[in-house]
Amino acid sequence: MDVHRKYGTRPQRSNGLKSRLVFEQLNPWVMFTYYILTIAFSMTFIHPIFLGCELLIVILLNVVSKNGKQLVAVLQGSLFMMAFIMIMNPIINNHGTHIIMTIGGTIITVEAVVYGALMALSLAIVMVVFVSYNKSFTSQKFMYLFSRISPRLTLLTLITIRFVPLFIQRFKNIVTIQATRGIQMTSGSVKHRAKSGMRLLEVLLVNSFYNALQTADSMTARGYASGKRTSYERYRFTLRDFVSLGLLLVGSGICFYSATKGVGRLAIYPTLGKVGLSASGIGVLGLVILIYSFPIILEAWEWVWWKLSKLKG
Amino acid sequence: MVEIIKTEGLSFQYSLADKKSLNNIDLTIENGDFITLAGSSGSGKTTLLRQLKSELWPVGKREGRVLYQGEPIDELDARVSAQKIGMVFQSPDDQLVMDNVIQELAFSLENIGLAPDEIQKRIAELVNFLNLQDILYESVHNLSGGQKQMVNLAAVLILRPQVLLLDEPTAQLDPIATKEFISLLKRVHDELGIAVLISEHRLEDVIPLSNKLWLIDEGTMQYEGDVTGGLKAMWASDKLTNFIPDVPFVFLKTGLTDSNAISKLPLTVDKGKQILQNQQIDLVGNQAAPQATPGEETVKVARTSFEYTKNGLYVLDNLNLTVHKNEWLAIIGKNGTGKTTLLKVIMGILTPRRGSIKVLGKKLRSWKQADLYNEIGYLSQNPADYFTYDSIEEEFFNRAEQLKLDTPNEAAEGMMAELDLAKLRKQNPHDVSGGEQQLVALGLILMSSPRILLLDEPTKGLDPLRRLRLGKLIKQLQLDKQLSIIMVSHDMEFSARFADKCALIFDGEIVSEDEPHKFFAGNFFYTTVVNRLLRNQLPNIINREEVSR
Repeated sequence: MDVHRKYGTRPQRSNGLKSRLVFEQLNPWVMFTYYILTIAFSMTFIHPIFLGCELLIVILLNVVSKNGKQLVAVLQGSLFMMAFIMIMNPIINNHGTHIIMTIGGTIITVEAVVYGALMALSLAIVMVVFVSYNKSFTSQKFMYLFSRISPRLTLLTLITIRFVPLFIQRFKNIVTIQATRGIQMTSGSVKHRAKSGMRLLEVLLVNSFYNALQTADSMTARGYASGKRTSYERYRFTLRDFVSLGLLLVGSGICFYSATKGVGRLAIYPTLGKVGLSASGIGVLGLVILIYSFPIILEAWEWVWWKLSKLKG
Repeated sequence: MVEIIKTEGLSFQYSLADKKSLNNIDLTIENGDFITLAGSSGSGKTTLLRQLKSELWPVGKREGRVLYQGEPIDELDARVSAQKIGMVFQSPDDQLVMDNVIQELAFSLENIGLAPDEIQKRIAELVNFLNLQDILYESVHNLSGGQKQMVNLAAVLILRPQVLLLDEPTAQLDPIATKEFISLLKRVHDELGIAVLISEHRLEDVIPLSNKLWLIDEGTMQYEGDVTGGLKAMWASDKLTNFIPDVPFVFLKTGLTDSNAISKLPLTVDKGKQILQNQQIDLVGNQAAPQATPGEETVKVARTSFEYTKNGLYVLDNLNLTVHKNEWLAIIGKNGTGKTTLLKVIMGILTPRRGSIKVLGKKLRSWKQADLYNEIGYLSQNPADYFTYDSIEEEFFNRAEQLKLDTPNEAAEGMMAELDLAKLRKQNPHDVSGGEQQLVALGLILMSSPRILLLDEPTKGLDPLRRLRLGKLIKQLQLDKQLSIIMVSHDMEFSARFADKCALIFDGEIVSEDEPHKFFAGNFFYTTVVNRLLRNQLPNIINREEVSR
């Protein structure tokens, strides 16, 4: 029900309802495998075509799961880091044979520029994958997977991850407050700014540490680590999960095997190779795209099924 | 009565402390009890509550015994202890562990190893009892403070405890959320028969529900027994007098209890009114005279509107506001009506969409940020955000140096002396109590000798004694330094007593503004307890200091 106010309506609740992506209903093991594979691929296939396709697909995945807002924020944030890598790599690294120019004794090579760009692209993919991960892979699922292996480490990880949004919120407050007393990062010399930044971080960490003590108490008070845990959500391993996991593992096995043979990896050092793909390269690319689009394919199939059933009905 | 928890000669000393925090305490919690534990901050309330749950025992030296149904409490199985003795803490945010509400509820049950079927059943049951279905899958970050605290309570209740320990659960909530939380607690106690021990320093809402009152001071139990007796004991003690809620306070102050044979002190406005009417008691009111004479305009907000996003809601909507030199303006209103936003707009932290703001006769835009911040001091709700050093004196010395004062050391010393912080100088600002943190932050702000002071909920989480001290101190500063003060607050009693002017903000606008007596006398719901109690006979009296016989 919309609540009508003077201007407009109240914004829709973001997470008020159960998630209904097909992918999110799979067994956590399958989901986790998917995320591991996407990250591994982005680091294995250092090739502009591969990375470009991968980035497009993960962005599409986030659009499908309605993460637009976070996606934009993360892309904006990663732009700075990407630029940093793309600039720093050619300056620090001067291997390669194709020289573009020399600046004050530093040789800038095509190889280093390309490598820097690919690294930046790979980083962007990882960050975008994490946006989807954060939305779909709830802490409940994380606990289900790892609390049996190491309950304490799992909890530590979980609390750390949970603290990220809180951290950002707090950091914003601290920045505002400290600015009113003259400590800020937006003006002054670089040294002054860096010093201010360190101060702000220190305040954040100290504050958060004091707050975390209460979280720990609340957990202990509710019997955490009092013995073996159970999980209320029963993640059954259905046939669908089994087939999905099998396909993911077999497909990725082929991809990784090909990668060891050099397929889908652009030769960069010592000399930049050709960007074009061989026949086997195209095959592997197709496989990688299929694996990356796995959640989207599931969603599309769902869509088609409903359309068909409506037609029949 | 069946006893649940019992302490015998319990004393406790923190491992690095030089004196005992708890001294020879003998207490019993029985089935069906609703006990209020009162005492000032740092009196040992939290320490005592923690002794009653062995998982939360702090490190230190413990003497005496704590028994759960006759057994030593630390020999209790961890699982049994987690289930039978529930504990809810102060901060709504920090107790939540999981992403969303249903996971938070399940977390408790998973910890004690229940089967999935049983977990589902218990969640279903509790969700129906507490009416949580609308927020069941909501992310915990999107909940309001009151909802968060309700979820925290639910996550403990789902374990089916026999006794519930609550450590100042409403200190961070606004008055409405506080009332909701307390009435929920009443249901839990009345309908489920769970014994409750709650530590509080705002007693107004909890005391009418309690069958017992415990008073603690400096680790020693001062009183233990029924509520009327407890309030009388508080009246007799210097420190705790301020803790007495308004209705019984008026009766104690005017000596009605002695002469008119009122055996049971009234605790609610309704009961108080009945007694006054039935016994035809007439009280005398001496309306406090205004203390300050305002000077010229210092802050002028005209036709200001603010929205957080494009085409969003107008949080401030065509708002007008004027504050003068040597004037304390209190802006009261519910959460989410734009109170804090207004302060941030005046500070220039947020840019209004429309309107003009003048500070000391100069447009906000023409101020240099650093100069503006020296003229306006802003005290936020969370004083810990101000601290950057390891000791209070370092905070002050560095602040003085940063401001390039002529005599930094003297200025720092002077400020610490003025706010009575000298004895805490070597302590870490994070380790001192909430009230003291508030003072340290205030001192740091005052170092730049601002002419305008903005206060955001300065009394949140303070006990009545410290709240009174803070009020008096700020009032003195206002008069001495001719400050303009804009305070946003839920605290009507505080505003009624100290402000020179009160304003009500609603839907982004100031809807009424007047001198406190006229302001509150004109309100029906939004007014102080004393005003509601004495409305029939003394309509212009708004705070308890003004009543006599």
